[in-house]
Amino acid sequence: MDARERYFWDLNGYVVAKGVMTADEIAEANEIVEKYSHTIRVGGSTARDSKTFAGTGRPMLPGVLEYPQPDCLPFRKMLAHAAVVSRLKVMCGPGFRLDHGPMFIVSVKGTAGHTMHGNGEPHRPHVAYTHQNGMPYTGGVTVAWQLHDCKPAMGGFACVPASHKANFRMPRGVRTGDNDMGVIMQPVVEAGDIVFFMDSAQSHGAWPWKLDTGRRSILFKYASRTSVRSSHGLAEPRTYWDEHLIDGMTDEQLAVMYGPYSNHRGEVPSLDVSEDGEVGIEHKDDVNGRREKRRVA
Amino acid sequence: MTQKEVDAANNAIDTHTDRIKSGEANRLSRGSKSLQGLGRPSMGGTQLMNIEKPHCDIFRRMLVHPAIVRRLRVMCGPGFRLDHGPQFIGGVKGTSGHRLHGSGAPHKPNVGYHHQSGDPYVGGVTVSWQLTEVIEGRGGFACVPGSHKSDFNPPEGVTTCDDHRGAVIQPGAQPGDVVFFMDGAQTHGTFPWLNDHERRSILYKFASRTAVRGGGRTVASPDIFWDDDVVDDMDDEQLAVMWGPGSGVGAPSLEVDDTGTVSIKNRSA
Repeated sequence: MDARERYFWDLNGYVVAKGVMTADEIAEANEIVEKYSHTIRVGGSTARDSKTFAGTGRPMLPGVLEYPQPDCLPFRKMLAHAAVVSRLKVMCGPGFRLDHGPMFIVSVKGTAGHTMHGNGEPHRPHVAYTHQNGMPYTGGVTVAWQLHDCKPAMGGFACVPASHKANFRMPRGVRTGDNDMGVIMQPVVEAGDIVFFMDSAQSHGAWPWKLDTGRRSILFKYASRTSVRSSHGLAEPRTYWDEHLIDGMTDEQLAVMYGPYSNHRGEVPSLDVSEDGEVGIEHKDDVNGRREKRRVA
Repeated sequence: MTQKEVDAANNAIDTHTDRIKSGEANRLSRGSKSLQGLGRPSMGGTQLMNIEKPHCDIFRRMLVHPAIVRRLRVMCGPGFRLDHGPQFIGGVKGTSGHRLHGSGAPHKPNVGYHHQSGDPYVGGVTVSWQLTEVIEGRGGFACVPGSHKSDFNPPEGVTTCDDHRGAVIQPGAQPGDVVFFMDGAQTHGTFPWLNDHERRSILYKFASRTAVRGGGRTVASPDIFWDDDVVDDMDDEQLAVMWGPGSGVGAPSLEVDDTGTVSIKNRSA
């Protein structure tokens, strides 16, 4: 990562590495996609309440790292590719790691966009962007390999440049794309390029796919060494600690014994103290109320 | 803690003194003249929470005491968790200090302190319960107030305490008091213990929900952290990015040479 690219990254929260894959590598990966196309699963629409992003459910291709050899190899090669390592060492710091994924998006013409999500505010420390003494620190970076071209205004990854530094919440019109004030842009990328973006720190999503050729983006979700983005099965106390340590613990004690976990869906309990000084599990309605209050504020 | 609770904790320690190990003299003072002394007695790991009942009860109670929960919800955010510990730190007259460590710079994102839009965010907070009296200036926990916001590395004279120019303080505390500090973000350590009575502190190392400090070692290696199908036959460079989260878990890091070849970084380089 050179000084120019680092400047762009710090300023915008995303950067495109051009022409990383050769034509042969692109063709080989695409052939494997065709071979496994019967395993594609179509999910629900990711447009939620947006008119602009409306469309059909999003198709995904699961498990590419687990394909039998040699079919997994082109995708495993992406995992620790020189173009990725040289940049993530700067973006996340040495010792970056794959947090989850890869998530393979294989949209077809008419597939819905994805409402914009992530932002500098509210602050999420595990994925936030900070800068100190000449060094950038990003908790989470998503690396999106492109196997097909994404043409201007024809759909695909979209973002709000510089939103990783926002101190105010994203307005509803930007989230839905219905009144975005012109702040959402779509980087134009070609097959073989990679998009690096500050997933969650940056406001990002996707425009509906309008091309006859499908969208083919493979998203590897990296994190810095000590940051956790995903929901992982290992967080449960009985898995994370030796059993004799937690045997006989109360529910309140167990609540602080979970391993690290992003807890997007509130599966992990959190504690609160009542007015009379009693510690108890925070009720899900209270958690949701707190989240709603933050969203509306 | 009430006096009864302090007594229960001290009684539990007295019953398990065979588990207390003394470290090497001056291993923790690391080149400091001011902090020199005898090896520090301690009981590491998670032993205090899994000693037999009823002795473990008081340490489990400290884990989610209202005084802790109320403060950590603000400091770390709801959903804070125990990262590692609790660690028992003892001291007898003449026990060495611990050279100061941690600071706002270099920035360590997992334990860094931030503030945005009215909320503080701390990756790691250590909660230190006192079972005996700590007299100001007579040894025990010492820190550099304000250092979690420092943009410069602490000078050697500060970390050794040999020439700290008043930057380092050592607060007093009574048995039953709790000290909360930004372990890793704040420059902190210990002054040598000068009292006739023992030092007895129990340190719980908490983290925010998505930060990892020293914990998680047992689940971090790729073969445990991921399903076999995902990591089977991966090469060393690919496995290097498949380690679970953790500080000091033994995960290698990668580098790219001028020819574009990715390899495991030599740790001594």
